[in-house]
Amino acid sequence: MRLLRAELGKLARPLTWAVAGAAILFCVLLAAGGAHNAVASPGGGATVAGQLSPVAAGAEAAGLLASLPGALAIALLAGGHIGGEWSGRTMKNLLTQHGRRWPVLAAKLASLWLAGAAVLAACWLALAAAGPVLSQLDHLPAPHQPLSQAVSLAASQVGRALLVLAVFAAIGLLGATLTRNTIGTMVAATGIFIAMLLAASWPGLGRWSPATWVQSWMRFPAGLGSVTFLPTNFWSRFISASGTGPGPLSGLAGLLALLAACLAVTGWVFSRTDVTG
Amino acid sequence: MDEARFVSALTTGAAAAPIVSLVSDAIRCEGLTKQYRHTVAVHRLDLSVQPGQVFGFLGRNGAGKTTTMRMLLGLIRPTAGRAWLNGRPVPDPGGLARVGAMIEEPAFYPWLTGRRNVQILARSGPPLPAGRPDPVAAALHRVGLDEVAGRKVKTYSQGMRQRLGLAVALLRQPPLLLLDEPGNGLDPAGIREFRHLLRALADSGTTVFLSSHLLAEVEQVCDQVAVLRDGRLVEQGRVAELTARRARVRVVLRPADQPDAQRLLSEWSARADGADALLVATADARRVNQVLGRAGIWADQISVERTGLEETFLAVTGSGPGIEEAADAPAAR
Repeated sequence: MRLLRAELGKLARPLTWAVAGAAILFCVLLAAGGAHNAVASPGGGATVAGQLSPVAAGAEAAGLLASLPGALAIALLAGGHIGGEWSGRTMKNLLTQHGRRWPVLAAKLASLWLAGAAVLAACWLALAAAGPVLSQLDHLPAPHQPLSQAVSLAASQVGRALLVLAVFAAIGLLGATLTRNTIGTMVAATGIFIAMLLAASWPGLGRWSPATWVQSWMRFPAGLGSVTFLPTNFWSRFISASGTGPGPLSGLAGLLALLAACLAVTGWVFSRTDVTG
Repeated sequence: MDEARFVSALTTGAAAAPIVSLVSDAIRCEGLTKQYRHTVAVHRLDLSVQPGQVFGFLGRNGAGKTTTMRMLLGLIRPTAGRAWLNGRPVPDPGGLARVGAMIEEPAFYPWLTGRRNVQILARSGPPLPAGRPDPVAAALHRVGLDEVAGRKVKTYSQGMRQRLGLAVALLRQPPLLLLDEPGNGLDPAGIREFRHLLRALADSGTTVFLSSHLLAEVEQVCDQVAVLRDGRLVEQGRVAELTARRARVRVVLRPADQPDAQRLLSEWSARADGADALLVATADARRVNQVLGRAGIWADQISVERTGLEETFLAVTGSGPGIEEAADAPAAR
């Protein structure tokens, strides 16, 4: 826990604020656009108003953070927080204070995941604050959504997103360990995320693709979704609808396997890497 | 910062550190080797550093000093050989709490203050020794950074970063310090403070393993030195012994006697130094005098010329004039 606290202390940095700010801005602008577009569509207004209610906004934030925006945010944070230890030549300080490498990796992963969770929470808060204002500005109808339903939806999606964020963080950690620098980590992690999406559209790979595991676990609607209204995610629109996708449990198993594989490779590489910078 | 307070604080702090067992070396290497593909960075290094010493680890850039230190700290995996720190085999993550280290130019998180950096590094390792009010503040005070500890590290000069690195190394009051070029960027006053710091630490039982290119400082502060050349240990011993090994006897005599004298002194490799002097590769002036006197050659003057550590270093590492030329250097005394 001491090590984790130390890692969290390092995250109080401009990069974190910038990433969180960008994610919040993205969510709010998307909500503003979605609310505006929904006005002209019959029935759309109530749907979007429901998505933007303060509680249900958690599901919206979770969907966005468990998809490409969240993946990119994690890639950026991984670059600064983990790859930066090599670029900034501070890894030697860390390892001479704490010579065991596995706890260092675990603290890095946990702190990156917590940073992702904090960004999700910040986006939820921002949407919760902005949603009613936007609904009022665009004269959206009342959502007529029971509070219990909103709570259930938000809790479910946030819980699912936390697992996806952990997988994204593990991929960021792997990218950092392989490239050992800030930019390399950002590029590698982003490359892996894009490769995941491209692989998902490969014929016959649907059930075995990490991107479809995310899609099914998060219960994102398959196929190219419309951008007319407020999208629940920025993930399934990049995946071709062809082929049979896995169910949520298969998705969960796939994500857990991916998480374990990333950690195993990262640990193996990191334990054998000379720290020369 | 007031030098007396600086040294006093250091001594007080280091005195509380656990005493190294006298039965084991503070540092021991046996056949330590690191090879990168076709380059041998360190070749079968055998080294022994006794507790309580200030040990100078010298060599030209790329000689393998930093690689050796990194191997000792578990940052680099040796290709072959073994090493022990404080009697425990390396790598020994648990033993790092008893080692303070500063490797090359210290690096920190620039967006954080100096104090926050030290706090974070303190939390990154095992718990600090109990019973001290604020180890972080004490470490910053020791290196004279109290007044700027609240500033972000990105605003620090190189010398201030060096001091901050030293504060981190001293944080746990370890019985063994590994310092790689700690004097880089320090101003003359800082270098002097640093010299006193090292002596104070050694006097209180701390072993200091020091790599530095400030040879004048090394000569003043180190008990022993080892010299690496191309990854191989080429010299090790007390500073006085090393410099004495390269001492020369200068014989001033009549030019007419020079050829005979040179022949008589050939067992030591004597060479002419101008028309009326010889340089003899020995420190035994009495014996030189005796050999010449037996042959009826009387010198006008016989004196021993000692080389400094710098000349010795240059000669040993092959980076300067040869041994005999080094003896001609004006630093001879």
